[in-house]
Order: sequence, then C-alpha cells, then structure tokens
Amino acid sequence: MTAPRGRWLHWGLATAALALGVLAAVSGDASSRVVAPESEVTALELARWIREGKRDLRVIDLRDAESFAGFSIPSAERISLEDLARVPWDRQVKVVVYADSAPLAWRAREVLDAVGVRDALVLRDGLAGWVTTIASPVLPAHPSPEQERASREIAEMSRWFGGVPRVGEPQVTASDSLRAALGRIRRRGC
Amino acid sequence: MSSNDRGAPYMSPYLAGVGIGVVLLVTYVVMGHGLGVSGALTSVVGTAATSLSNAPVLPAWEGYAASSSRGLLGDWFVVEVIGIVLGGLLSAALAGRLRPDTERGERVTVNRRLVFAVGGGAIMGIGARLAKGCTSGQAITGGSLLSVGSWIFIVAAFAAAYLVAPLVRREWR
Amino acid sequence: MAMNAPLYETGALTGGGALAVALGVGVAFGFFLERAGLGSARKLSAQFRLTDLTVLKVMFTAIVTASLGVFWLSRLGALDLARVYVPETYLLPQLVGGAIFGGGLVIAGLCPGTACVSAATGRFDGVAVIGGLLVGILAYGAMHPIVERLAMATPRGTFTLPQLLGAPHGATVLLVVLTALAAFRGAEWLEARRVVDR
Repeated sequence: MTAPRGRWLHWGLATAALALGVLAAVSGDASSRVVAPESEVTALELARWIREGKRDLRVIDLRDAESFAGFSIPSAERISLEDLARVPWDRQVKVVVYADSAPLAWRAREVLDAVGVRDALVLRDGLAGWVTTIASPVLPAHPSPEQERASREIAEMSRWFGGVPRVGEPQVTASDSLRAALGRIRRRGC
Repeated sequence: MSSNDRGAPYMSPYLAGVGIGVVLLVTYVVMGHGLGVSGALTSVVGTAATSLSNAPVLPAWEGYAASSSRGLLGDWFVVEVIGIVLGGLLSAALAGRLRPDTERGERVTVNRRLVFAVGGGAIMGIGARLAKGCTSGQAITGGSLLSVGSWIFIVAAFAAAYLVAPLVRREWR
Repeated sequence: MAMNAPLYETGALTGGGALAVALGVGVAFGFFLERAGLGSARKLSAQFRLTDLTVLKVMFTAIVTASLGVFWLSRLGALDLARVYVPETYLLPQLVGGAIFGGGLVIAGLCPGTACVSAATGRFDGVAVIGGLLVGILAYGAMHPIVERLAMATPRGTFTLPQLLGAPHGATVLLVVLTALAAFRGAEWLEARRVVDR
C-alpha cells in the first residue's frame, strides 16, 4: 500500500489520532458520572445503611427463588418484577433494588416510581457490585495513603458481613453459591 | 505489500483497525462491555461438558454453561462469534477470496499443518482460560480500556510468540 | 437521566435487542478482520517473522481508535465510563496465560477470532485451530482444580494504567497514541527493508 492515496490516508489518520490524543492530555480526566446520582446507591453505602439498621429501608432481590436461596444480600427480601406492583408500599420507605442484570433493576425502579415510591434506588453494579465490594473484595496490597482509609473501611465492612476480603493473595474459601455469583460476574468479559 | 494469492487486494490495515476500533466503541456504548471469542468457545465447551456428564456445574464452567431457556443461542458472546463467521464469509465472498484450502508452507504436508493447527489451538485455549481472555477480550478490549492486566497479556503474548517463532519458521517456507 | 449509555446497562435495551446487536457487532468485526487479510494464517504469522506487520497495525489502530473514542465520549458526557466493564487484572495469570497464548498463537498461525474468519473463508486449518481451542479449553477445565490457585493469584480488581502511573486518563491515552505511532513508523521501516532483502 504505497499508493499516494494510501499514504495521504495514513498521514491523515495519524494526524487525527495525535491531535485527539494531545487534546485528551490537556483536557484532563474523563467524567464518569452521567446518571443522576440519586437514582443509584453504591454497595458500600448500602452496607453502611444495613449495618446502621437504617429505618424504613427495604432491600429487594429481583432474582428467582433458587438464586436467592443460594446467595443474597443480608436483610434482602425476594420480590419478582411481576409482583412488585402488587405489593402494598409505604411511600416514605427507601427501597433498594438489585438483580443479576442491570436492565431488570432499572425496570423495577420504574415500576416503583409508577406506584408512588419516591425513594427507589438501584444498587450500583447489582449483585456484582455487592460481591466485589463487600462479600469478596480485592484490596490493594500496597495502598496509597488516600486508598488506605477506604480500603480499611471496606475490609472492616466486609468482615462484618461475613465476607472474605482478599489482599494480593487468593482466598478460594468462598461458599459454592458465592462462587457461582462470582462466576456469573466474570462472564461479562471474554 | 499485501501479498495475496487470491482475490482482491486487502484493505489498508490502518483503515481496518479504525473499523474494528469503531465496532468496539459501539459495543461499549450499547452493551457496556467489549468483544470476546474464547469466552464464547468456553460457553460451548461448558454447556456440552455439563449436559453430557449430567453432573452439577463444575467450578471450571461456572458462569459459562448456558443457563437461559434459549440455550447457547441466548449467549451474547456466542451470537457475536456466529456474527464473526458470517462477517468473514461476507467479506471473503465480496473479494473473491472464498475457496476450500489448507493454507501451509510449500514443503509442508496438509496433515502436518493440521496437527500444528490443532496443537497450537489447544495451547492457546489453555493460555486464554488462564489469562481470562484472548486477543479480542484481553488485548483489544482490555487494552483500549487501559487495563493493566490486559497490557501485561499483550506484552507476554508478543514476547512468547517472538521466542517460539524461530522454531516454527520452516512451517511457512 | 439525560444520557444513558451504555444502553444495555441502563435498561434502554433488553435481551432480544442485545442479541441482535451481538450479531451485528460480530458481522462487522469479522468483516474488517477478513478485509485486512487476517483470515490468512500465513499473513498473520508473518508478524512473527517480521515480514508483514499487519497484526500489529490492525490491533494497535483498533486500540488507539477505541481508547480515544472512550475518552472523548466520556469527557463529553455521552458515555458513563463507570458502567463499562473493564476486564479485571490478575497479574500472574495474565503474564503466564499471555505467554502460553502467544506460544500457541505462533504454532497455530491464527488466534481465536481470526480462526473463525479463516474457517469462514473455506480454510481447513482455521477449522482445525477452532477444534484445537475447544480441546484446550476442555483440558483446562479438567486441570482446573490444580491450576485454580494460579488462576486466581495476585488479583488487583479493576486496575488501569492511569491508576498505575498516577496520571490523568487523557495523558495516558496520549501515551498510548504516541507508542502506537512510533510502532507503526517502525513497522513501515521494517517492511520496506524486508522487501529489499527478499
């Protein structure tokens, strides 16, 4: 491909990549929060609420009975998407929903919105978020000073919930059901 | 330099790369994850192994045995790989490159080439499972998302390939 | 919710739609691989004989394009990067697995994705590589109890180059772009030299 047209194309692509790259370098960090923050809650925040025994909090698991029996977030109750609209809701209650798949959780939030629950939140990253943050977190072996506080809180929170925080070394002591949950999470990749 | 013994000349590799990059970007925007091929093949093996042995899901296939009622055809990555085959077929047909053949070095027998293909494939399969991905899932997807592990994978794979290459050089002579 | 990408993660797209996307994405991916000539084991393995560096060019152009795209879509607020799945880092398994993979790649002459394309164009060696991959994956399953400790060793979770380098995302993307452009320059130089050699 040494035809003049090809050469122009390649120089054009290279210039465009360089220009976008330089602009990227001077424009700093990518913004990562697009979804309105009040529509979601992180696993760590939810863990704090459960541990504090926050009043008027209901955690809803949308998965099937078998998955729920295998592994679920402590204090969660299982209600399927279909039953969600049939359950009587106290409108002042704070509801956190989660499932294996994000679309299901977001649809559940819409349903709750429709029946008048004002404070319905989706658990960020679903059950995967809970497993990777609380049930089986991987902590940095050599945390930076900024990371250290967060790291300590996660480790402590994880142990409080009977989780297995890992630091650098593998801990293959997870229960079968937790392993299955981990397996499903890994499936998101190749 | 596109030495090509059949059909039309190949596309500029840079242009094809931009095309694949855009495909990857579309996948991020629409799905929130990247591409993968070895994962789909693992689903095939996992589903077959689980259904044949009639045993509970073994730890190795957790998350990979087809769980939905649609079976393997409900698996995003399996459908994506079917697409790859169709896309390759389409491009080759349009370029007149569609022809039954076993590509090999001039002095290499068909059987020898096929043994290397199966053997190399099996080694790659083990490596891909250990690394949790292959060229598409680790190198291209993880690489573009700047994952440290994916860049380790890229460097390790290229280094090993260059180390082994002299040993199999004559396969293509 | 003003912008809601990734569409699937925010619930704007569901099961059937996702599978249609999978097919479309796969067709486009396979199409470009074949267009570049990567359905040919001879051309692909020439990367490692340093006579034809198409693999490097296609792969790094794809990485540069996608990483620039991810940065800018996210910077402009069109894509929520926190919801895009980044493959987790396991230092040792990815080092060892990558090396095993690279060795197998040069013996087979094709990687998993390009083997599918090669098979689609009528090449039996492509079909054989896919068969080998299935055998290898099954063998790994059988070895799983023995290698599980290695496979799960040195986990670092979601760990990215900006975190490793302590640099902003944008600066890291520029670093990737510069590395790729230098590699392309070197590749063109090597190919030009080889033509004279032959």
